[in-house]
Amino acid sequence: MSNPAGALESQRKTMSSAPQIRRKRRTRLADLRRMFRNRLFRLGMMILVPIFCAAVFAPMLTSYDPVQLDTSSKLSAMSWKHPFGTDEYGRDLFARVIYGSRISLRVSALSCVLTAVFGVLLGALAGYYKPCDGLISRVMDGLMNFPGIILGIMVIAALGQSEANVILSMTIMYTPRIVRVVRASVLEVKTFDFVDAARVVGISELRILTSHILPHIIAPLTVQITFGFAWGVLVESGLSFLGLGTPPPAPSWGNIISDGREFIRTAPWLMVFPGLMISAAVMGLNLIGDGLRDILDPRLRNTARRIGTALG
Amino acid sequence: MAGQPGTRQAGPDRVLDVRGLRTSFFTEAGVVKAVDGVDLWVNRGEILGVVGESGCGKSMMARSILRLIPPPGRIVAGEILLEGQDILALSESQLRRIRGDAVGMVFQEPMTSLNPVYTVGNQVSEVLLAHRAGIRRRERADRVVELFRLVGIPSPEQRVTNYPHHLSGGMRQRLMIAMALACGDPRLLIADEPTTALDVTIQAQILELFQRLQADIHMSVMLITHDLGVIAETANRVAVMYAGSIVEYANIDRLFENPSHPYTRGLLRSLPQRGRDARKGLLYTIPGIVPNLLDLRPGCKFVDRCPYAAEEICLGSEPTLECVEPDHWVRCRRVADIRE
Repeated sequence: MSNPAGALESQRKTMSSAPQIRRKRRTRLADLRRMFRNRLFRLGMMILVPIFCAAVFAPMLTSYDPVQLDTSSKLSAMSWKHPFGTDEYGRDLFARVIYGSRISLRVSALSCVLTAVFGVLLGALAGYYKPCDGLISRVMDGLMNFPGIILGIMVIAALGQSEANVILSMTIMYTPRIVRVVRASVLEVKTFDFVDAARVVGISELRILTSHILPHIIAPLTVQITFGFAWGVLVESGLSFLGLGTPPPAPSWGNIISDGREFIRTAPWLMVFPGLMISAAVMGLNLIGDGLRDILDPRLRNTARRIGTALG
Repeated sequence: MAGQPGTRQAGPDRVLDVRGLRTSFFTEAGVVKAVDGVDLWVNRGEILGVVGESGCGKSMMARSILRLIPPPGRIVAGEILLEGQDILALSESQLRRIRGDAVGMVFQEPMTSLNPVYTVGNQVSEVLLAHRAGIRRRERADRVVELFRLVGIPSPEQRVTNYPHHLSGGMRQRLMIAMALACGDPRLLIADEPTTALDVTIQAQILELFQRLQADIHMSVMLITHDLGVIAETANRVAVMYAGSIVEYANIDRLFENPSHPYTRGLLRSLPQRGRDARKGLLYTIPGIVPNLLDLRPGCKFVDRCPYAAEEICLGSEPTLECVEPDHWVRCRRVADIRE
């Protein structure tokens, strides 16, 4: 290059400050702090973290056994002894609700993991390899057209009532949505110039897919999975309410509500507390999902912030 | 007549020899012949300029050479010989070995041609990993720094850990060139409008880099552009493309001294010039637009826009590429009248 020596020297000076810039690169902790600056994400976490902690530390929060009958205190109202009251068998509702959150959250979480695995696999295949697209997309469209609960009833009727089958049916229900999101993102990313640029230097197709395309779909995938989690909590409760989910006497939010509905006039707490927990968990997860979407998609972030300030 | 370029025997000095290349897109509206019978070659160590307006098929021609045609496009006929080896006969894995090793390609948009999630050093060393199995990590890192230096990236040791967004367009284009050269023995670099997205001073630096690489490592370059100024500065020979075919193919001096196809003449007249017309604020334009490639009538494709067109001569069948003087071919039946 025909740069004059002076210009070259000054260029070198600016370049030598680069390592400092690199040292300032964001750490994981700073990433987390940045996420907590988002109001929706923060609110969602504030709701969800206590629920999670309650589920994890359930035995420390209550001395009652959720399935222990106590005929001496049937349907007793809220008191210091039984903060949420008791049900018709005298079981402590507080214990049932927090032990129930273990089951509800575990079932949704496991089905989310399975959904993510199958969703990414099928979605990437459909988006990247045109010949697979027709078959995968049509099957997924077909599954999506089944009302979720009906599909769940079908699977459980065929395979029997168990936690594993609930997870399986929820995975079948939600996978098509993930497939759609992944497929759409792959279709978009595969037209980017850097994909061609990788192909032109002899990178194999599989490597292009796994290391050049998939990293770009993590953002929409994370958001979708979070919403899937919220949806999972709701569906698990729905199935349990219908008596298709977690088999009694094990508590789950859905079957506690179901058991309590006979006593709605005399002991409304039986439906109110698990209902509140479902709403809180679903709302928390949805807020986190919204927050993540704003954080991960910079194009939307600014609009969201503008709307946020406009609202006060 | 010395015949058409494609019918000549391949000399040992030819790196690339393209014969009768046809690439078509099978769309719902019909078959679009994007590349319609292209014959050209690139000699060892030379820069071949390919010039033409947008949509004339020059990019598709270049992509055909590495079989990078997106569906519904397909190469329907022709031969592409890279040092005597027919690229169209290779399997996918053989082709992959050539891409990025013997032949590199640089695209128009340096801003989007690098993956934003990896450091630039990683992306260059990925090419090495793909072609040189078992190369040591240390060796790879050294080679990357060496490549950065070769393409003129300042303080390469620091740059390797940067992400693409840290670098300017010119630096990114240098990186793309580094990726194309990564394996150390590139025979041909296909540069598809490499400077279109860059400003003029950077453009000059990149063109200088091409010339330096051509001289230093005896690499051939196929430089695709719509800018005759770039061609005049850089190329040894020129192919002028129009509507999927080469209409004029000549040594650089012959082309600029004696442009013989009406289209080339139109292009040259369209360059802004100081003088009488400029003062009047007029810039010459070739009348009309590129013909719709979906329904071409038989005959010369330029006939509707040509000041020399004569129905009875120019229509009917497409003229062939004829040699008008050594190292100068023209696809026009009225070339004798025009050259007078």
